[in-house]
Amino acid sequence: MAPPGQSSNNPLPAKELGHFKKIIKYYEQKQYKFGLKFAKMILGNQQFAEHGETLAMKGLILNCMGKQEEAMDCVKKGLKSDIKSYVCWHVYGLVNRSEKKYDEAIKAYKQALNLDKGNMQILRDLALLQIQLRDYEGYKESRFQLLQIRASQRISWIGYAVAYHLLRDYEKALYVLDEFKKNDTTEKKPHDFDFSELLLYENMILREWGKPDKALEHLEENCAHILDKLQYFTIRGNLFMELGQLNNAETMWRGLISRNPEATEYYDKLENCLGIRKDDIPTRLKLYDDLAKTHPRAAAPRRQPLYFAEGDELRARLAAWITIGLRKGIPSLFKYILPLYTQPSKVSIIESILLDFIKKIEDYGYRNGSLEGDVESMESPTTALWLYLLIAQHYDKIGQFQVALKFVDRAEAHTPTLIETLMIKAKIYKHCGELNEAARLMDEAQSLDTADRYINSKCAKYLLRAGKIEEAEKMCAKFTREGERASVTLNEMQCMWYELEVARAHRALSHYGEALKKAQQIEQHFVTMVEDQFDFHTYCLRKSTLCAYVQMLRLEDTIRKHNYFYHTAKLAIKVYLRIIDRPQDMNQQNGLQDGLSANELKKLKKKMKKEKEAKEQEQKNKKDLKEEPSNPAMHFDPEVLMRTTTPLDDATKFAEPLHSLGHIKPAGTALAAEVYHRKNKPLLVLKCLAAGVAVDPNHPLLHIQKVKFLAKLSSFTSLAGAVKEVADELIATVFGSERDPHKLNEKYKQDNIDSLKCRMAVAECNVLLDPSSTSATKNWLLKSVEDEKINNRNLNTLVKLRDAAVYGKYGPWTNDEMENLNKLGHRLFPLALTFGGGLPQQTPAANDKESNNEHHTFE
Amino acid sequence: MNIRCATVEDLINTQHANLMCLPENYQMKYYFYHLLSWPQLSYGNIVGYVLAKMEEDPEEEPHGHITSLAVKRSYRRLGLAQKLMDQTARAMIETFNARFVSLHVRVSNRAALNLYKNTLKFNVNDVEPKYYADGEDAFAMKRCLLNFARENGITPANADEFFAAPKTVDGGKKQRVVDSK
Repeated sequence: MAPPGQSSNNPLPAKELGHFKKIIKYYEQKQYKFGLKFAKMILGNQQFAEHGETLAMKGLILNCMGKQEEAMDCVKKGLKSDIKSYVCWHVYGLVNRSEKKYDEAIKAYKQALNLDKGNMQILRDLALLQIQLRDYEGYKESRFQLLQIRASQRISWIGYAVAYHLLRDYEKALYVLDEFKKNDTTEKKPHDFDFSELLLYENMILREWGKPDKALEHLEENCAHILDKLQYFTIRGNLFMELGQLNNAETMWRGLISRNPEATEYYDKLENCLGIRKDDIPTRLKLYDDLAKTHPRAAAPRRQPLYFAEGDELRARLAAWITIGLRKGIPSLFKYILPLYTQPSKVSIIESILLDFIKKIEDYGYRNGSLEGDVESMESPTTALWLYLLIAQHYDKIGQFQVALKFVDRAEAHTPTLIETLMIKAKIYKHCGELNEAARLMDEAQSLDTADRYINSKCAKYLLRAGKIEEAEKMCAKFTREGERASVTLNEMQCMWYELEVARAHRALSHYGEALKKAQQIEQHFVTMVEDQFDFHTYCLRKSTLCAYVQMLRLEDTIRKHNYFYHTAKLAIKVYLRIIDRPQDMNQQNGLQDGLSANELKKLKKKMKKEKEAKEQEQKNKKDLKEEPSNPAMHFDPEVLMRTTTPLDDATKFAEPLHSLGHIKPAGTALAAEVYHRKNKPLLVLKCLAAGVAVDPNHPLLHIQKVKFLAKLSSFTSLAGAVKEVADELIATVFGSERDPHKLNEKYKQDNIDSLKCRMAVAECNVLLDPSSTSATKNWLLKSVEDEKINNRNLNTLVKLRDAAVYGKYGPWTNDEMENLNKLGHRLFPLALTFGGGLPQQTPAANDKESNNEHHTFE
Repeated sequence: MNIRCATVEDLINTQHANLMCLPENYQMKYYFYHLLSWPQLSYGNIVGYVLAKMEEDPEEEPHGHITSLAVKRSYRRLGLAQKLMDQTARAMIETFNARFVSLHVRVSNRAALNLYKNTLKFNVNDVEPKYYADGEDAFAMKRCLLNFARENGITPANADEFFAAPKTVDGGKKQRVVDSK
């Protein structure tokens, strides 16, 4: 086959051919301007004005320069004038790939290969795209051809083996690797990392093949060459366990604990292979105590027993653990005891220990006795400080905010400028719903250490919770690049915690377009992460880091399982549903307009126009500041997003990964079910419900979806034939024998009568099934809020109830009824801004420590 | 706190911890690059991490390098940084035969400097002017791993080469010139 520039249709003479070679050279060196110059010299010649391969190369360069449209035109023109040129087809494929039109790109590569069989570069590009798209069969074919052409190359063999591994043809994968090892004549280094990684990869394939005995044999045979000792011992330990060689396994886990005594996994495994039952607490305690003795500096063997010891045993251990933590001043002490709060008996043990410590410190003073009650010794003053902070966190956790604030104030009186005190105080106010005070305290905390980004980030987060979006961005700007907005740098750095919080803040302020913009940007980060794989397909084959590579491929397939995506998807779906359910909210400043007279509305609009103009003026003034990310994929117009004509389809894009990737959080599967319900996809609804109830059969949001489904069951016409069989099975899993939505709702009500969350679900279903029950339902809900016997009447749930009422989920509410609900909220949570409460607005002069006392007069 | 070798699944959370704690940030691809190049060297959990690599410049003696280390403020005073650093140092010796490990630290970061100098026995090797994007200088620090290996009974990938004289940590070309005398 002719080299580039001399294709059959229109070969270039010597001079032009020289130019053409220069184009390729400059393209490879990324000196695009020079490349274009030489392209122009060829195309400028009348005779070659339409020269296909030159046009193709010009297009390719333009594409690299970010001129996508011009590039595509150029490449297409080139292809048209030289349809028999493999260069034109190859370039057409490359440009399509960069435009993410992958199917088109693969077709083009294949066409190019038809014209130039065995072209290495095109085969490599094709293989890359196939693995990226998980076309394992195609990838195997391409790798096979590459191996035939370059059997001397290590990467050819490894690539071919990986292809078989991904196709789960373990035997062939191992055969290929074996052949490679036999024929590999390259000299081994004394410690050969590549070879070590290759051996570990072979072992991974053996294990996935389900051959633990062979894997163990292979591992031990190659012991001397495996440099990754941690992997070696871990795999060996697991294989011993699998093969029932428990004594050997025990040796491995004990050895690994000596290497790294802070990895809790090893302790669990050790317990397993010793055959200790979880409820055999004395034996477990002894095991951990012995390990604590052999590892005097390790925290894990001392800490883990706290999570299974009970009664007096727990009391003694916890008291000792807390005492050490208080003396060292460990800020995270509370986080360690947090897991114990799921059991009420353990909570009371914690409380009595802490109160006992407080009594000792307050009765005798820390100079006259230790926490153990030894009057001969004394505590350092900071012990008292950390004790106040610990007990404050305890009362915060159990919802006694007033007591929590009392103790945190004692800590503050003890040492006024400790950042941790301010952070804990801020957190308590956040839980009370006094988001402004919380943010103010965090701001004070960050002002005490402006070099610490962690406290700066916390402060920004609290500002966002208080709805102060601009201030938060300014706070972040202390650690981002000058000359551009913090949000631009943070977007480039894929700072998803910030973008998610900004999205939530916008939603809370009814800026739905802005909220969607942030959600779309986060989704775009996931798109980027998937794209990022491209370079690693070749890189990892060269590096031989194949175990990590295969793990990466598998991770990328399910990357949207990450919490950031989960929360973003929930937010986006809710906004899209609101666009459908409450289009009136999408008018600017939305929500607010409910109940406004025409005149008031006019005034509001005028005011908003003024604000908008002022904002634009302000932006003009600081025009040197970069406003938007450079990446065009990150550009979204909030207005356009909010005015979408296909909100349900837009929501589906976020809902799809929630169920297809096996997200196991019921709130998410319930939301996905809602979307599919509206899309009239009963089978998908059922799949979501089945996945959800497998985790939590009693979840209130799933209950609503279940009732909705039954109420509509008879009208789902698409459930027929083979689909019906699958559906019937799922229906039996989800509903048992119940098919009556009314009965289902009634039973759920009786089973969960004490829970406010469940009552809210029942109420929503009542109104849905029987609109005439609205009035009774409303009264029932209001009474539930007042009823002290009802569980989870916390701030979060109450806000959800109020928001659902506003949304219309419990039928129409009059202003009086709504006011009534807000009053109830206010009475329960007097500091919560959302129910009209909060601290009195402070003037700067009154902002001294003494005034703090008056904060605690509620409840 | 559970300390373990990082896997690809940990990387988004590692990036989160980095963004929360440090001014020097990286895109996800850079985290993937570390884990896909030196899967043995990065450790951590969501409250802290060490991101580490090998310097494989053929001009220099191969050695470990700490790209980034952070522990969230609320998890300090637990000795996590030291525990993370010891785990990665061990892997550097066992897998890559690294005789020393290097890192950069802001000259103003007294807390970190104290940890590196006094707890982890790093020495200041050099000052790199304007190393950070905001113009601040960095101390280039090094820690010899020979004693660490001996004290902890760690078997290097290639013991002869690892323990061979000279036992200074200057590394690189210069060292070889001294050797040939």
